[in-house]
Amino acid sequence: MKASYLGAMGYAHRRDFPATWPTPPAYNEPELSVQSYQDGMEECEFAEEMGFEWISFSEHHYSGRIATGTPSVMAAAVAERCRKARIAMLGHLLPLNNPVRIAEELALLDNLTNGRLVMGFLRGTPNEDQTYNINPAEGRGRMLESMDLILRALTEPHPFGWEGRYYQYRTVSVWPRPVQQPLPPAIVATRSDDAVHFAATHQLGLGVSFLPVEDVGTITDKYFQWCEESGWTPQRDEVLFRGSIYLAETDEKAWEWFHRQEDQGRARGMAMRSSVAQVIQAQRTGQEIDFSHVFAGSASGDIVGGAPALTFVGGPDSITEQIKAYHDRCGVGVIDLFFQQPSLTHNEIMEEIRLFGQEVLPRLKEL
Amino acid sequence: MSLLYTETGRGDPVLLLDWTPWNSPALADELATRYRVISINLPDGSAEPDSPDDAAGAVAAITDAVGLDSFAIVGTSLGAEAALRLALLDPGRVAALVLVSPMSGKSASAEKWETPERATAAMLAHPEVESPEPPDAARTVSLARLAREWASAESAATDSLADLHCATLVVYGQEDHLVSRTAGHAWKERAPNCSVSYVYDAGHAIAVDRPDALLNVVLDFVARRETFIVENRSSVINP
Repeated sequence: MKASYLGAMGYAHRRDFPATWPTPPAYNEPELSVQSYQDGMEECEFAEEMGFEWISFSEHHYSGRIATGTPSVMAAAVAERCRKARIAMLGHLLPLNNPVRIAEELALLDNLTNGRLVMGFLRGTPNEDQTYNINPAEGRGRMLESMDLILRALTEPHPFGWEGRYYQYRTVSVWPRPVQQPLPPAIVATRSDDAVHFAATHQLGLGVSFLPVEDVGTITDKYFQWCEESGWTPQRDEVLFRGSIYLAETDEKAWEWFHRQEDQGRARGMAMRSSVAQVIQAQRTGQEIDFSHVFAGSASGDIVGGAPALTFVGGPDSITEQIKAYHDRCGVGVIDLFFQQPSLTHNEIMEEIRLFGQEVLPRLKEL
Repeated sequence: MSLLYTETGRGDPVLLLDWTPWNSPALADELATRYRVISINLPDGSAEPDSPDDAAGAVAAITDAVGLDSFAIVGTSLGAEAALRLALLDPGRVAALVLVSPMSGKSASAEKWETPERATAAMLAHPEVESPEPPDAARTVSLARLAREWASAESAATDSLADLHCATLVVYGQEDHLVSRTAGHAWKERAPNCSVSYVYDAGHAIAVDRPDALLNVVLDFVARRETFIVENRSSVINP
């Protein structure tokens, strides 16, 4: 089993952010921002040194918690420091972006890293549809079409046109070609049947995030079945789970820290007004909504939602067992870990990476 | 051997050889809003053309009969095969050539679609969820028989693509399983003035799966030929 370090590049003082999304730019102090990115890159370098075989990046917007709205830029910078690890884009939020631009960025990253790229395709969290004015009702369709177009764009040797539902291009001719032929490894990060089916039928990997073991198992069971029906068997590296982690020297210390966070209300991260959340959910699921009941100021006009709960908490033995459960039940071969909990300092995260590399990772690699 | 034809619309002439099992009216109807459309169809029974070249000759005879000096041609599936031969036989008269789902030597797969049920399964992107009118049985059988006969006829068309100098658009459905995923490559490698476009979420019968997308690109190409790659729609939101 392999470990992947999520290069979140969180802003150093993210503990001071308001609970809601987006985080106002007023919270960003340029000098501290520069230092935060330097710290984040140092964490990636140290993770590679401690045995993490992948460094991952994820597109998230308008917040200093995961401060990589343009993940390819971040990945290119880290790839110059981490010369062995795979650079995993987990990934681009396809509905928000021009798929041809994504294909160009992926191809260039595969060249800059001499074939160390892993591609990842995501829909994105509900709040992020607002970033570039995407109708939440169209996110699913845009993601499915984007994947088809990106795969075509990365493999087609001649200029071509594309007549899609959401995208139309009369000339696509991506340069450079990926180093890894015919395609760099690709992971579809999803919980939805249609995207899981797409991954299985197109011989792509699968990534699932922030769910309990049994829920992930339900998804991977379908994936493996559809892969078999499509006549192929995924390799271990092609099934990934992303979770957040807090690792301490002992279970007691880890849970003491965790309960302190709960008490201080720091578990939030993507909260929004309930009115906005209701409208997004309604549009995503195609439901009619009665606006007279949802506006702020009504009884339901408060803040809802938040960051996913911590997936892994404990000392080295417990963390190993918790991760092993995803391996054993779900066939997960790569565990992608988010270490940058809001209240932690750079030095504390470096210590966690050291502890993980020394006490947990050797046991995971034996799986 | 002769072919049947009907005329609709007014304007510059467009020959339409829509030879899929469905014979969808969408292409002809929409083209006829802007052009003089000569829809050319296959006769029933024994008078069918023996080869794509025979079919092209019969189409050429119709163009002479109706007095056309130059014209655009739109051919789908087997119709694309005949349209291509006509463009190679008489290149000076073809102003624009649109080949929708050309089979390019894959006509031997006719057994996959020789009944209406098989045609639905083989030619649509989502036969399990779509419920279009099934194609006419006699027409489907006739086209499948023609495809088998044409496949066995020696064809020099592929070798002649370097001589195809007219503005040419080749359109494939992204989910067209009757041709290879790389079928478009030969066109780009051999035909000097050829554009290749893929219609997302469409199978071989693009006009059934995604008629609006097909009409969009075909109409734009017939009107603007190779310059159709230049965007001409405004992106202004609030002028």
